[in-house]
Amino acid sequence: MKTIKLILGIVLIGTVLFSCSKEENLDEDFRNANVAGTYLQMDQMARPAINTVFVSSGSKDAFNTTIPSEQNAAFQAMFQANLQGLSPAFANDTDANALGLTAEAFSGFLSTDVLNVSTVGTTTFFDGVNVLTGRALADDVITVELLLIFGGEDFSENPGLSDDHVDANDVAFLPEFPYLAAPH
Amino acid sequence: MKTKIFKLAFIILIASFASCSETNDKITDQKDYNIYLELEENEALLIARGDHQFWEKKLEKNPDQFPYMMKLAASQSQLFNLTGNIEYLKDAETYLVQANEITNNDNAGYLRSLARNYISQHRFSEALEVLKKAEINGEKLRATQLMLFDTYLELGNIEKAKYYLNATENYKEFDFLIRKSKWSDHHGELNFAIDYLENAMAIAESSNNKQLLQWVYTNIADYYGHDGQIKKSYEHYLKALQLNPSNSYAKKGIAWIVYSYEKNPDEALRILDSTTRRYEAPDYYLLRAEIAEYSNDLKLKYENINQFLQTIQNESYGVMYNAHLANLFAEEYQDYSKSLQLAQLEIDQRPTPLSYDLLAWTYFQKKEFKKALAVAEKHVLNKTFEPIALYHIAEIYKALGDQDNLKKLKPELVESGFELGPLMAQKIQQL
Amino acid sequence: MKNFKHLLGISSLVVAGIILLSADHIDAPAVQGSTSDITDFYAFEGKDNHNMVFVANVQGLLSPSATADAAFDENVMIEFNIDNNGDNIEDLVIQVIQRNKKMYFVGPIVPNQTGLVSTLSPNFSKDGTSVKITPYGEEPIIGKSQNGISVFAGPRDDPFFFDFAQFGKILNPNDPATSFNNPGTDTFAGTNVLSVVIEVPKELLGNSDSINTWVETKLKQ
Repeated sequence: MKTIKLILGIVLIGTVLFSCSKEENLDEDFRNANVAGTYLQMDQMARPAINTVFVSSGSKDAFNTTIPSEQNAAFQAMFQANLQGLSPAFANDTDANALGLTAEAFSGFLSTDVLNVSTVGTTTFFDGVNVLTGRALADDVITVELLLIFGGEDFSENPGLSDDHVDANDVAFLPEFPYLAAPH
Repeated sequence: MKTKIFKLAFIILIASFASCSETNDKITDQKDYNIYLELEENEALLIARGDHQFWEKKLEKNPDQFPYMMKLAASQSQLFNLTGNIEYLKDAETYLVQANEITNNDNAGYLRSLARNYISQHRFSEALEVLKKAEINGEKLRATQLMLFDTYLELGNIEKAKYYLNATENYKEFDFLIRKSKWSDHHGELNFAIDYLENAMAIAESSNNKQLLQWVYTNIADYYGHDGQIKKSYEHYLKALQLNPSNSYAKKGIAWIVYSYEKNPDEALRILDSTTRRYEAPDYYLLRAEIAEYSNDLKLKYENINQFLQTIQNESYGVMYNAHLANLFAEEYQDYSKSLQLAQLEIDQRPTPLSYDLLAWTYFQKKEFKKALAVAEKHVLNKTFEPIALYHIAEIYKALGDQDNLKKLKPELVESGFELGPLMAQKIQQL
Repeated sequence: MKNFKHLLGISSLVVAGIILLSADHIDAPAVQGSTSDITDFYAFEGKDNHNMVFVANVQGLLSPSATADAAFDENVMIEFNIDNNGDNIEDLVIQVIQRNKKMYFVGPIVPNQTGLVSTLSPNFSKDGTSVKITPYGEEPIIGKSQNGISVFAGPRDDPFFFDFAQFGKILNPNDPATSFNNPGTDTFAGTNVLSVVIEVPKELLGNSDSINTWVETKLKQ
């Protein structure tokens, strides 16, 4: 009995020591890794392909280094011009997409490039019910964006432009962490 | 009296240094590099081949997917870097041109890739045209500006090069530092060039990017060599080989140390022979030819010169070896009209001090010394500090009996003995 | 003999000069920056619905052959930004950086400063989780912290699917293409990316019903 206690004690001490030293090691590890310092922004993104479509080439550098809270003021007009130049579904000022957003309202929304994510409900780009509450791996984000850009009020306009007909990933995702499929 | 003794001591010191440089200490050791020469597998090449095959198949199956053209071209450029086979570079060009057509010349990244291909082919004017389009497009403008610096410097447009260097100034950044270094070297400030490249090396080391590290180790090894720091030079070529055992540029660098510093032509040739089994750039034949000549093996020398001439008959090389050819025509075959024609072509394409040096040197060979001097004084002197050009000017001064100017150049040339090689070092002694 | 020497002398100049010309010319490496290009960003509820998952991908269109050799840039920090009060300014960040084949995750923490410049300070035992980068071809290595965070870093299948090329052709006014093909071609099929995945208990993200989030890459100065 005594020996068992002793062994337990040793194991216990061992565990404590181990976790302690592990913690210390981590910290030291991290300090030694020499990561401390100042870092300057190179690139940023939230919604997929938005930058590619709505930001003119000459403004891409500026867009990537404008903080989201200032993007709307700086880029909404450009987004609107590029949206109306691109999509016949917004030819008239009263035209809107399926979210009821006119060119001005939609470009105002898009030009702040953040992903809106629900912390209390379903997270999806669009699943038929929930709209823009996150971005899951299997979401067909491009088709959703194309529908909102080209599809008009009821998704029926410009059918040739509003779906790229690539509806799913080439391999299945994992049901659990890290969720992304193994590399090819 | 005291000063005289000092002077004497000083002279003895200098003399002993001079004699040192005659019989240099051995720096290299077969044990350090033999493992890299005896390699059976070239891992980098296997990866590049696999990558190439993958994108080739993808594109074959989906010929409309132009991003695959860019990936295929990138793998071909990598294969060119690893093998020296020019056809890879030409194939890459075809795909890059096609992808830029499909994107209406409106993708700055694609344009920069094409410009890079042209730069590798020494087609600098075409690179410039493409980069101007990328500059107007504006995406990743800084990357375009960095390449505009490279291109203008190659084209001899110093003002524009300076403008773009200033536009990209950031002393904490790799891309800028390596260009500032090149700029310093261009202006004959080797110490600054080394400083800047050492700073760039520190960044590459902290980034742990294998490609960058290889590039920076081999380039700084070159600079250390030019600066007479042969041991450091050797060590950095070895560092590059540690990262990539098939880095042929590093092997060539070691061969040069063995030949030029240790005066061991047989070992240098052994290193080169093992290197060229995998890497087939034409200039290796010329390097072999020089070493053969040093060994008084004229048969081997002309074999290699002929190999060189034969190899560059391939039209794919385009203008890449025109400068080499001009030199060969003038010096080896006394065909001055061809040599002049090629030198003029080089000047038309890139009016750099080194292109004018080619012209001046051709006039010198033709014994038109005054013409040679006129060209050299107008376009070469104080515009480049490359030892080869300075040596040519020195020979021109000597031919014209201008001892004063010759004396000014000689000390620096003597210092460049390692960089210029033992054959030329002998000629410098005779100046 | 004299003649021979002379000849030898001249030709030696030739060849040596030629060598220098070529030795001098070694092109600059490709301009850096591609290692900091973000290809994609995801944010979704985890399998355990108390958790939120963030994914950032860099270095897209990797062929299988090129994947084993692809590496995160150790000078580039990936930073997840989280705004939990609706002003599109980050209230929390998760900072991610690689050292020696290991990925370090710090956060979610309140950043020292918001915006384009970030600092990373080594207070790791309190806020950090680390994980070995999963080598290509091996089972995913998952790092876990005491406060319920899971982390992963390494190559994965690119989860994005899109007929990128056809879209490019439609956008090009000189190209006759005016619509997508049916079926389209998934440009990203069969290719890999370098991924960073972090799963965080929602309680560590504040107590709002929704967040705004985006990802940035930042270069060490």
